[in-house]
Amino acid sequence: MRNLIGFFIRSRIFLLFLFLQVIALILTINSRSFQRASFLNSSSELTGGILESYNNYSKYLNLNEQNERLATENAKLHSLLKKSYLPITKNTTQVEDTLYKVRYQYINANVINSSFLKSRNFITLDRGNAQGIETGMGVIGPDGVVGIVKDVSDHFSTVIPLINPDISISGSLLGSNNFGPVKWEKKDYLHIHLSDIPRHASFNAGDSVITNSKSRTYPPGILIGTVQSSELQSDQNFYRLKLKLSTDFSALQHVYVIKDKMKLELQEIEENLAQP
Amino acid sequence: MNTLKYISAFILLALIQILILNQVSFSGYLNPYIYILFVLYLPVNTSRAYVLLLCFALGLVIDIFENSGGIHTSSTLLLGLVRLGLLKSASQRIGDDFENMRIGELGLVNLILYSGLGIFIHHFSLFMWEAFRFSDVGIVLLRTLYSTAFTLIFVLFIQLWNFRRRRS
Repeated sequence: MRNLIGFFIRSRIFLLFLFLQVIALILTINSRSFQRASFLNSSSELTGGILESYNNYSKYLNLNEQNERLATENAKLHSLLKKSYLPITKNTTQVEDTLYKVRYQYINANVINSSFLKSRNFITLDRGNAQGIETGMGVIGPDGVVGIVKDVSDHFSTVIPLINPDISISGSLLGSNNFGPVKWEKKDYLHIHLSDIPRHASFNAGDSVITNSKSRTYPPGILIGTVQSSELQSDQNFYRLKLKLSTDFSALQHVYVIKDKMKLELQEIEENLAQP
Repeated sequence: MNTLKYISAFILLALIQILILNQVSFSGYLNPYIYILFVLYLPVNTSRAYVLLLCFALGLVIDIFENSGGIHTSSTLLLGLVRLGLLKSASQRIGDDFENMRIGELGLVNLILYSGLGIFIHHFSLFMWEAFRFSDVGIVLLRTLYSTAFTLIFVLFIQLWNFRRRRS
């Protein structure tokens, strides 16, 4: 017994090191799993507050470029407005539209912290619970898909961007509707890979890859990237396409968080499938 | 007085790291982490338990802001553990002579040796944690070498400035 106590006293420094190291290890492993919310992150009130006030100054530095992007997007949206269409026949009548119901709602947000050169990248937004943001919601930018919300506090949230190996989303080729998982391979922040495209599918370099209706987080038809090159997978039956990301993660400032109003309904009806 | 100095150094280095260096991107291979300067230049006679606890706190602060789980904490702890051994072999002093040594007395070559090795160990552990698998070890080594050189230049720059100030 005395020997044991002696041992503990002699190697107390090393034991302290081990103890602290184990805590660090637990934090690391916790942060790697998407399902479990990590409780120490940059969406907490204190850290988020510091980052936000810093961002308030630093965002002026690239104001011009951001304005340009927003203006382009505005122009695009304006061209979709009803008033920018000319009625062709005079026989149409105005009706209150009860055939369509709003499914997706967009919440705009500012990026207050982001990384894009690491092998695991993150984004922090200045919107949270109070603005209706929840874990698992999709995030898009002016140019296309950005990522998925991970942790949410009252006024901030963290996002796992596409350039993080922890997530993959479903993407399909515009035109042929062949779909497959889109996943990042730690290479660089400009490219991403779409795999499992069958050999008979036809596509060209420059084709668009968009989100499809199988996705629970994004409305269908949002741009992910454009095809750059392709190669056969090792099983020789499927193609693996290299895509150029449509979103520039090195210059991301304004994004939209997507709220799917029918998500619950969809979940409920699919749960019924499991229990006959 | 001394405690106050170290607390302000702690906060200052953490802020520089979070607000400037983490936001600026040099290239994919260059990620300088100068906050470990704090650990490298703690006085020799600081209690080892204190050193470890300080390392833990510093790493945790950086981790929280970077959303990186515990990888900075773990790497900084490792640096805190090997720090004294590195200092001993770099200075080649023993006993009381070593205990009372100030890091500024190391001399330029030994200082580079000590800081370089310390930074290398920290960065290698950090990038290895980040990659999280052994197959990427080539890329990790490359990143470590580039970033170590970069951090070392930073560290020497600050140390040189310190020398100047002390002399005048």
